[in-house]
Amino acid sequence: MGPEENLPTLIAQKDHLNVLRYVRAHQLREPNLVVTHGKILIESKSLGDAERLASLEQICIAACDIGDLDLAESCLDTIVNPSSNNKSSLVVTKESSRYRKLLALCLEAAGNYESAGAVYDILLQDNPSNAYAAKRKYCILAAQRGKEGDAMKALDEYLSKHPGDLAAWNEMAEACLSVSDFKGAAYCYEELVLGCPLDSNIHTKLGEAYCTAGGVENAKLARKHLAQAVQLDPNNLRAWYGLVAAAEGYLEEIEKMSKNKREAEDQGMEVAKELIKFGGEKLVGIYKGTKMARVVNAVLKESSETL
Amino acid sequence: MSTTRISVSSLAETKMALHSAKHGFSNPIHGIIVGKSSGTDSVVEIIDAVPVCHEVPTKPIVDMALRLVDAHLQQQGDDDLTIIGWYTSNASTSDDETPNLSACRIASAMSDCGQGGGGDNFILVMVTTSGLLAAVSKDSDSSLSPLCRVFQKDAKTKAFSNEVDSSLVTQENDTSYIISKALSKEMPIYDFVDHITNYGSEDWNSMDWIKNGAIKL
Repeated sequence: MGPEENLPTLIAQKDHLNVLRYVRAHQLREPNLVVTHGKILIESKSLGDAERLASLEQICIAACDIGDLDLAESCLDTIVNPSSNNKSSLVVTKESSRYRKLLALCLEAAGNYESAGAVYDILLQDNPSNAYAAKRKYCILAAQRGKEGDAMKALDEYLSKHPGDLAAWNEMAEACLSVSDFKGAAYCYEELVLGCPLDSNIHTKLGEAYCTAGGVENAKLARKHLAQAVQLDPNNLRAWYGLVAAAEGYLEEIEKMSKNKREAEDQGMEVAKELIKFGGEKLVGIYKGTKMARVVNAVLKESSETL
Repeated sequence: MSTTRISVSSLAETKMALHSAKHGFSNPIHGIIVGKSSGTDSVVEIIDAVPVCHEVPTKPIVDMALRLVDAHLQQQGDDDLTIIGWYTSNASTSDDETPNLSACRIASAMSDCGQGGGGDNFILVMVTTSGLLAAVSKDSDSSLSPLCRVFQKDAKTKAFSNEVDSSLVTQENDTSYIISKALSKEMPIYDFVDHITNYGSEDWNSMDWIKNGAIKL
């Protein structure tokens, strides 16, 4: 695959092997593409053993993704029982942990959570620090309606053993958001910020979570993180909107306070008003000449008038 | 049980179906319902749908989207057309029972603020997976699995648990056909979050989330 290859070109050339490789290398989620090209690819006799197995694995996962369980099962079968015209020197047995992972995934796709859980339990017995199996066990719970509490407990347990797994913290943040636990989500995003302090998008999400959680202290933190987000990436439109919204949210929270407490927040109010003006000007600038300019100007005019 | 009568336009249903299908991989979707609602004769007309996000919505996203759509409607000049509801589809495709928690909270907050003809007629619409399947499958009777289930606020509990009976929800003719055609053509649909996260990309200007003008029935 040369540097000039891109996906539409490969598809047009019907280069099935490289389409699959491209999807794998770039970690794209394109199950329909993989299944379409994969089905043709595995019929080909010129496929090497290692490539054949890797492709079968990829097609099997894609088949589970689109719900084609028959295809998934046939891939599983072919992996352990290569047909006679494809004599392979690479033999895969049913005890192979890579095969087992695939089998369990297919069981999950079929909704057979008990059997899938059993396979993951065996994998965990063989290797108690098998992160993949532990995560899939959480996924099984998360997939079932009404088990959000159990799922979050399982994920919590996983995170206590693997506190450096940022993807898991992200998953936990989303789980908290789905049950409207905005403070919990903010806690998870804080962990993510520790891991990626220069990522504007994470600061944005953190700011949004604090803003939604409510309360003066959270509103201040929301303002700070959204300000950090726009500083890290001045083109982060979401962060600019968030900044204006968070500053306004802070002023709203101040309104609710008693007069004496409000005086302590004088400086904060000045900062918030400046941020609203600053964010507003930036947004108007971004939309200048675009279709949405009138609408954006109307909204921001309204917000600066209430200052 | 609510006695409000609801009519849903094909345009609104198609947009909700497209939005839901685009993010079918375990993402919840949320959006704004635009239409006409008169408090007096308990008739609610769903005319259009504006997609907002395909994740759990946070306060800045909801606030900004609502204000932008409101300003847009005011500038359009049609006095009767207002924001009358919120629509959602649950993250898990097998979960068609009740609307998710965030949608219910948003609907409560919006109806308390007096949107939608004084707040009492405010509607929460849930797009169901079974409805989507029924719309695309040629042989099933789509009236058995309606695409949209409509909920209103219960006067006592204030929760959005009063479902409007499906017999009181009328679709336009040929809606199923229109929806399945739109889905098979993979008509592009953009929501507010698409618009704000893709600033700087080549097709930013075409992410017309408020009108989604590319969707032609």
